[in-house]
Amino acid sequence: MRAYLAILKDSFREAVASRVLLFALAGIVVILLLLAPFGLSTDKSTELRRSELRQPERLLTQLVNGADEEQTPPAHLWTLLNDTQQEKIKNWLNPKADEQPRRRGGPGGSQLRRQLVDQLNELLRLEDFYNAECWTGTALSDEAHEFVQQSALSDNDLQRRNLLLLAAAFPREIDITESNAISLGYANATVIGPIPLTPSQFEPIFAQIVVSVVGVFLGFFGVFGSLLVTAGLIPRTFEPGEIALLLSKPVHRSYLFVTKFLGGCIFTSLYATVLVSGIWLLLGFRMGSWQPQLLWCIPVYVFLFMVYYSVSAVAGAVWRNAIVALVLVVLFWTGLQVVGVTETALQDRLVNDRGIKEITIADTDLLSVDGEQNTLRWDASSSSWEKAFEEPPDSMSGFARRFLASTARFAPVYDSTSDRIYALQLAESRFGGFGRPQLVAGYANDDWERVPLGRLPDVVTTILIGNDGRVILPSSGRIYRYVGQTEQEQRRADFLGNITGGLLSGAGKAFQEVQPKDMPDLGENFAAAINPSGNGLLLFGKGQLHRMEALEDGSYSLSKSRDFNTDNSAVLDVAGPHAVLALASGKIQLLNSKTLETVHEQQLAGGVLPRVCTAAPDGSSLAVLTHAGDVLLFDGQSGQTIAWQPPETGACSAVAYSPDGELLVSDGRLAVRKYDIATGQRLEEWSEQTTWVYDFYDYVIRPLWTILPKPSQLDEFVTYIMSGEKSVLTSDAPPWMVNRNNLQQERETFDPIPVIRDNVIFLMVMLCLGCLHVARRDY
Amino acid sequence: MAESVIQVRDLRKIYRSGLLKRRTVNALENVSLDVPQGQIYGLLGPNGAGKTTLIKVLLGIVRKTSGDARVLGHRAGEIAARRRVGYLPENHRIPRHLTGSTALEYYGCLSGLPVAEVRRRAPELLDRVGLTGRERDRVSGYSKGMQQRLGLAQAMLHRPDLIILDEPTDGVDPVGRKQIREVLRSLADEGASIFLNSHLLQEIELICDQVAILSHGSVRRTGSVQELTAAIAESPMVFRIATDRTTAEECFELSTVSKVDDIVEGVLDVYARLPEQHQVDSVVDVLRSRGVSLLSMKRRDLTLEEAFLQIVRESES
Repeated sequence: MRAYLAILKDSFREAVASRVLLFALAGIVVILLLLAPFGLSTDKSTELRRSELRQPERLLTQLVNGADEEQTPPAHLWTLLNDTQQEKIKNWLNPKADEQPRRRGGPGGSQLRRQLVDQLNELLRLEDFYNAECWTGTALSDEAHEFVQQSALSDNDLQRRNLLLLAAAFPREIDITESNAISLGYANATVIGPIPLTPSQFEPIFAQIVVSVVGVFLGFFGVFGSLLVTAGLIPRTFEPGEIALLLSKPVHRSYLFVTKFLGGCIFTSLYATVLVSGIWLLLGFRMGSWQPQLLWCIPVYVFLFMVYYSVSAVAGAVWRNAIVALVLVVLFWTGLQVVGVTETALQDRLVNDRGIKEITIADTDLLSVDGEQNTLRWDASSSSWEKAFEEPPDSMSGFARRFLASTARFAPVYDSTSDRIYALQLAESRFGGFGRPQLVAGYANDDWERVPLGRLPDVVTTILIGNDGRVILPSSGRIYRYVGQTEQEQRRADFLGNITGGLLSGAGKAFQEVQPKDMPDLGENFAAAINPSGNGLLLFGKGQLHRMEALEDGSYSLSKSRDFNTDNSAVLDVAGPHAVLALASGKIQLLNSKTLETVHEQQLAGGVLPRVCTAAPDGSSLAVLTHAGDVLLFDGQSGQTIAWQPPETGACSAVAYSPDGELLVSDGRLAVRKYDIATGQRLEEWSEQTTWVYDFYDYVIRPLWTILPKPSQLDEFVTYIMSGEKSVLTSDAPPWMVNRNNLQQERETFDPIPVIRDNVIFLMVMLCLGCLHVARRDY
Repeated sequence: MAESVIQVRDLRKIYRSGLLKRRTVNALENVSLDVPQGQIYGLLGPNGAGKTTLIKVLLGIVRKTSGDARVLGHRAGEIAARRRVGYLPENHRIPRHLTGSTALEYYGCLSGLPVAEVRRRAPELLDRVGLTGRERDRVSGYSKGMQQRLGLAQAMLHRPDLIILDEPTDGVDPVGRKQIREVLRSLADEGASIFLNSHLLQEIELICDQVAILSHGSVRRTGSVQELTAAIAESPMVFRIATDRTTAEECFELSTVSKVDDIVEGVLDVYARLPEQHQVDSVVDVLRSRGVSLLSMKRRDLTLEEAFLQIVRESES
């Protein structure tokens, strides 16, 4: 042992003697000292932010309607606006026919939103913003109460008070629950700020900045700098004059090689320790953000270095040449990058974009939705998926489609009573983000031609079809039922919709409100399902599950609620005696659909999140699909887990039931298979012939990617450590479009075990090869 | 008979090279030798004879192809054997970032010594090899001779039973060589066995008790220096005669004469190769018949160099 410790000590001496370490450490200290005066301060926000404006159109409508009201906040605010501003707002709501409509989905939407927010922020500066009589019936927060009782307020407090009053006046339209502002200062001066970010928005960004800084300094400069310094360590050791002397000592050759390798890692360890500890202390002392998990970056990046250095070490032992060792490391890195980028690109194209994400059986037709929101119909004659039920080409810009498609997915829903499918056509608000979608339908005998039925009066993301053909469209605070329109009414509605940008489409007549009087507020992230037996609804929102009975007049009454004491969002479905509710915490609960009592519960392992819950129409079984592609089945009668899983589990991207209760699953690509759950037998398959690109991916890229180490994923590992989230959203959409709690959004489940395992295996293999070579070679 | 610290039997080493390892070089062929304990044993041989290969096989640095080699009772290369061996390789390279002291500390620890023990022994050793006062200097600033001395010091550091030295005086000045010889002799006197590989015949001749001559991978001759250089039939006969050169030349067949030395005026030493006794007799007869006084006549001992060259020539032929 003493001998090997001596080798480690010598490696340290060599690192110190190289002076590069000292220069690097000195450089880090200087950088940290320069960064030290930076600091963050958090203040209460005094301005409305774009992302806090949830429903701009509804807010404007209420504001405009306030002109006709008395003693209400909208009425008071309307009076605060001058004629020009009032005209401007009216114009935003009802653009003139000759006005060039802004291209929806592009930056235009967000520009309009910015103008509106600026306008509202101007109002917040007014002293007479608050009128006690107008706010009498409005529920105020404690903080707002305190403010309105004070007579003299500073400018900041005034703005803060007005912001709180505005939010109280429009509770569904404005959400300022995380209303803080962040300022970045250097020494005593404010450099940037207040930055319009909430802590929940800022924390992941901040963590990402820290991860990026650490990644650049450690993952790139640190690792490659260390490789540069240590590349000569092993070749020098194995030079004839030195190795003969070492091998004459009572040391094992393999241990000598491994110890020299570990000695080379000392350099990076020192570098990483100083850098990360410095950043950690800096963040703690200067920004009050003590994040001990940041210290995990030290072993992670040393490990990253070890993976690359193992290649250098083996090359150094074989060729005894530092330049060859370095060149091979660079080639190795390049090779990994090429394989990694190719794998990601093909995975995106073949699985994420083209892969089947939703399945719908529409009588004799099989429909699916791919990752790009295209509805596809199985064409038996050509054994391929053909586009059907297509949206008009100009319905949305490519920019908006790309973002919206990544944030929500709408599968067509089949109504067997009328033999047609319904779907929600995505629409972008003129103010950015989601607008009110359009209900569209397609008829089997019309080759699934898309027919618009009307623009919904609210933001709706779910269509529920009852056993009598009723179409239920729940929103966060209301439940709509599509009651249809005559063709003439529809044409008129379309005309109005076109000239008013959809706001005054008149389509509201097609949608009847059927919610109970005591309709609970479900919040933004709610889940809804309809029980095919009895048409009762289950709605989950804000941690509560509500059961609503269908009344004879078509409306609903709230019959039972259960509080789950959670902030988690969920997905759910119901059929027959049982409902399945899968929470974002990974807990799956089988519930009695009447009493809402838990019959069975199960926890998803490994931080995997549920994506879809679905139930067989006959209630014979229920299924949960996770973001990791796993399918979990539950017996519809007992509510217990069914042991059998379809072979596609682990790669499954869509799950559905046939009317007979048979399970349909997609393999994540272009195949859909039908199984009999009782026997596990495959009944039918719809699989499109794949092209050579799939073969190239399956037989070249994927095996290469599997066997090669994935050091680049260690960056994701660091992100995982910093955020603690295993399930990561893959959306590139702007923040106000991203709903982090929406379980249907595309996610990648990060599993740290394979990353560590693959890299450890590679490291071990390389070290074993090195040891084998050193042990067998004559020196 | 002293116990052997090195026992080698029919040792073979074949180096293979090339992409398919088809090119072969027989570095050692059926080498057998015994190195007695407590002696300084010299290994002589021309360049490429296999001397360094033999040493490396003994230390396990190179793997034997066949045969048997034992060091201090252990199989050659075993850690137990290496623990008791000190080695100074030819053209060794001590890491340049080390100083004299840290180098000794490093190699001492590699030999299993505690740091404290190394530090306790270092001053005496450095003094013994003549490096006192330079121990804090970086090795990168050492001359070749100083590096050899430091190498020797590290080989002695853990008081090994056997010291193997490969060209220890390479690059060392004559004073240093003498110093090193004295150190080796004192080590032998202390009971250590020394296996010395050198192509400097004078060194071997001066300090070795036993010598093996290796040529073309085989041991050609072993024995003490006296045994190797003892007079043999091929040794030249030296006739000291009282005559002049012209007469002397008439008395000898010129082809047999290798050298004629003038001792004093009128006295010559004639070196003649006369391996057969009748040839000697006939020369004596001729001298007598010519009236030349034969002052003395004897076969001369070979020098080590002559013996070495003769043995090497024999092996080549």
